[in-house]
Amino acid sequence: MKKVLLSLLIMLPTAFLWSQGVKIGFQSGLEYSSMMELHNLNLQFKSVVPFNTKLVADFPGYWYYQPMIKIAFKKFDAGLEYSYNSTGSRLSGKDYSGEYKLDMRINKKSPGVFIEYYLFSQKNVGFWLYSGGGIMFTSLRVEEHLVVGTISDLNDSYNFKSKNYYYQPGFKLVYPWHLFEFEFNVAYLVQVGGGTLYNEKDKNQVLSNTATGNPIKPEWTGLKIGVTVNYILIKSKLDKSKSRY
Amino acid sequence: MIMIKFMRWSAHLSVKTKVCTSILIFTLLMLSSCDYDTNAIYNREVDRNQTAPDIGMEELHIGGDTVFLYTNIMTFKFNFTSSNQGIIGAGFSVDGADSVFIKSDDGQFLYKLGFLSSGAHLMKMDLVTHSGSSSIADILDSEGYIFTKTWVLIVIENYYTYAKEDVVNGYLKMSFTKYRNADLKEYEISRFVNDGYTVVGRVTIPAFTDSTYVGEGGSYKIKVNTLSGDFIYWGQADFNRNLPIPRFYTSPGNVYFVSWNKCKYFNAMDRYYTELSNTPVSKEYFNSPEDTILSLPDVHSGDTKLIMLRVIPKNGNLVYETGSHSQFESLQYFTVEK
Repeated sequence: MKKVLLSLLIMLPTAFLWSQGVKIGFQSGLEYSSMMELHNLNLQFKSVVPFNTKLVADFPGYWYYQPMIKIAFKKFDAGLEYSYNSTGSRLSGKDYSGEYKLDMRINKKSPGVFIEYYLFSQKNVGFWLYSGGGIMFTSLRVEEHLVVGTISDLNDSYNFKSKNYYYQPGFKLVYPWHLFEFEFNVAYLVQVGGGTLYNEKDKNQVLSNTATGNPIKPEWTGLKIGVTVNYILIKSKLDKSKSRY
Repeated sequence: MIMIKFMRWSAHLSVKTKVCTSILIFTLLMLSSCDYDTNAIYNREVDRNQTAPDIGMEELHIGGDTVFLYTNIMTFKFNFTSSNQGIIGAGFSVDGADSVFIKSDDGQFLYKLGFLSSGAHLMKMDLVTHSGSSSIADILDSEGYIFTKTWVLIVIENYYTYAKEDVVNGYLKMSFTKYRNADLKEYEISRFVNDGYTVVGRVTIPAFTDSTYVGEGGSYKIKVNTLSGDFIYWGQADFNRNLPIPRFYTSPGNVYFVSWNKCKYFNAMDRYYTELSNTPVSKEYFNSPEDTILSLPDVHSGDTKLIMLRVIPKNGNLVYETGSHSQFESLQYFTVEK
């Protein structure tokens, strides 16, 4: 993966020399993930808390933000992307006498590379296949609060980290307009690797499910649906974008 | 430093490229702060309209508002019941000292007192129950009802005494100090027999009549047994021998006889047994408890005789039943004057 990133970094400036097209873009949309292991951890917390609580948020799909830069070749584009996404959960219980909250906020920062292959176009809309991959750096913050009356009985927080890889196949529809391109993207992110969550202060301290004894890893595998706006920074001499559509 | 390097690096780029790159970096930074968050809250169902429970005290150890403490009993046992809300625990304090909180969800408490000086003290108890609202505070034992009760403690140090001896209606009666708490089960009286103490009676009043004792002397110990299963060594009694002593008499007509004073514990005895020795054949006689004169027709002038008087108790005298009869006997030598 590092080699691929390095190659692209080398390719990028040379693209200017070769007068290939260069685009910058920004993609955003909803990203869904399963997070079953963290969900089960929440259920375990729920069973331990002596009063009834409810999982009011359970790692819902949430916005991802993905800037990218790509070089346009004749039949394909390739580039670098950086995706940021977060989601979370809350175990909650509140009444007149106090409040209990167990919040998990998890995010990932994933730099990667991608390649897009042009298939065909119809009515000025191009159909492309997409494939990407990279590293995912996950951060998890767990906060537990208990307030009884006006007294804070519990106020703990823990930070965990994890590193995994991803592979992301998908497709996109592209509509060009002057120096812009508007895209509709669909991809399915597949998490690769079993990097478990460890305490950022002590790597030997692994987050685990005390009921099963198994260490917990993030589970980012899931669907991504988004839209992209590309700006053509350097137009290719071949001006393929026109010829494509 | 990074900014300077970036500016140098970007010096040759066009304005359009610079603007786009800046927008991209700004967007990246801005959006990186757009973390997931939620305001969702689960409002628990609670019932604040609960009424205070009725508290009942099933007395295991103490009763009334005044409690007598005997120095070797410093442990209180309480058993409370609550009509609806569960019991959390109770805080105890003596003479305003720091409260000791004891948790108990079944209402039973064992409170061990520290050393208290002789005299009166004030013990306060705060019994805490759940509120019954099922709120977070209720479940975490931070909300509830408090019931306060106080007792006067009177510490008595010198309660261990020797029992007082009396003879009532021909029986030995011993009286001892009264145990003043309501948890008295019984006074247990033991008598020394052979090489140990054997229980001879259990009474609920501070007096015991030994219907088998005839004056042979004996040692008794008294123990207080409480309803909660504890016991206190309560006192003791040591009685010296107090048997009738035979005396020889001659009547004016040279009729010889032996007489003795009536046994103090006559209702406990079966009969007298006398044995006249130093004759060719020992003579044995039996007298009823009321009969204290024994005529001696075979005694002659100048005889020296040994007479043994034994008080035979009714059935049940443990010492007599062991066969140790000498403890029940009085001996007397006499010489008939010429």
